[in-house]
Amino acid sequence: MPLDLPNPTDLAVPGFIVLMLAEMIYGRMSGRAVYEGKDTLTSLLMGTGSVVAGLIPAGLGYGAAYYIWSEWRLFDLGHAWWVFVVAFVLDDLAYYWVHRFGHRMRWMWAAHVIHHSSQHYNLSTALRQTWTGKLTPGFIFALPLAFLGFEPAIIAFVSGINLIYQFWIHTEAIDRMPRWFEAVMNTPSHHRVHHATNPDYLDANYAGVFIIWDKMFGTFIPEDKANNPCRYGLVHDLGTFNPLRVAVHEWVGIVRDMWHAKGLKNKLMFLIGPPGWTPDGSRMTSDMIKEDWKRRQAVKEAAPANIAAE
Amino acid sequence: MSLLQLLGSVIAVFIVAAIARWLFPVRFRLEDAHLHRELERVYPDLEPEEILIDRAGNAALLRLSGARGIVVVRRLGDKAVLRHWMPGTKVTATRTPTGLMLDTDDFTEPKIVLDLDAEGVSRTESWLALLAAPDGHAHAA
Repeated sequence: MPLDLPNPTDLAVPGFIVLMLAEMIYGRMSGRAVYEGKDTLTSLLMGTGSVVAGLIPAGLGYGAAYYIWSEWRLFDLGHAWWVFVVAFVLDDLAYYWVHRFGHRMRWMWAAHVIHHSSQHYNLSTALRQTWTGKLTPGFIFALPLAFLGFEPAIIAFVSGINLIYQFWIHTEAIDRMPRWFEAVMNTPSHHRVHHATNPDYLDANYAGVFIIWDKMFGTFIPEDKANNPCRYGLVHDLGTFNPLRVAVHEWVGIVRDMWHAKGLKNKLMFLIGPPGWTPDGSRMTSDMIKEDWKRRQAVKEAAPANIAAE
Repeated sequence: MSLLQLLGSVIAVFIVAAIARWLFPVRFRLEDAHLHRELERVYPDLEPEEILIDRAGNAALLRLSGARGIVVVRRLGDKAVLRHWMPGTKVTATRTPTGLMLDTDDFTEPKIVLDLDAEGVSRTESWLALLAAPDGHAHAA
């Protein structure tokens, strides 16, 4: 009999609304948070749609996790409080990798891009969630936890707590937290960098709760608010607030690209390659954007020296 | 989540969005300086030769130097969205009572409505004709 645990995110919804209203009022008074009506509506409708999509039975992912847990688990970990704590930490490590792949593989980006599609960065952006996450192989990253012996209901519960934690870091209203906190935890400052489209900030700070994963795996970039303020959205921003278009635009792009691609390898690469990959390099991946930006910076820095030399 | 909870959530969504709209009214029009900044940010290699901003300040076309096509800028709420239409891009232009409506097969950029006078319409149409020219240059008839 599976453990019956509540869905933490459902319980947190009233808190989300109160905090959004508080941020709006604070933003209006201080200028440190900005909302826009249609953008907010789209974000919140995406969030509501994501909850509805979550009601569809998880099928493959949850079923596979329960199968592995019931048939092949290494340890009988049970339901003690420390199991929840360890599950929370390991689930956050799994989240780091699922998130990193969510940016580096177009198949997973097709679902995750929705969360990055607002040009605003406020608490409503946190709720701009995907409707199509279950169409990606993201569930694979949770299977090792089931194999270790964590019951899938516990994994789902701690994942919900993880999502709740990530709500408050989607704000410009908080500058920096105390130094010890910034060193260990994901914070608004770290996550602003993750949402930024500035070339030198791309593909950084994938952490959910603990920023230590980025520091361990070499993807941490600190925010430099004074010299390089974050600019949010996508490299190619969406020209629409229509939730349906927001939800499926990257899937449409993948299908179109695969349809027109020549050869099986190219078709497959449009699915599992990085976003922006093309056989002829006519679009830019994030690596190419970063290289291009570095080249420009080098030219800019060399320019005054050249002038002086002349 | 029950149906009642879902209904309550949807109502709350519209109320919160309405409050956001009320607290943060959009007073943003596209202007020259802003267009140059956005172009520098999104397409740093491109130089505008001519700029045409529609009467409502909602959309603008930037004809690029070196026959490199057009950048179209559209206001989206209080932000701007840019697209580079290179020579060869298929754009359908339809005349409307207040100007032009432009359409491409870009799924993420719906129809662009330009509020233009007759001179603006004819300028835009001539720029769009350049996209169709094989080398992006105008040719004498």
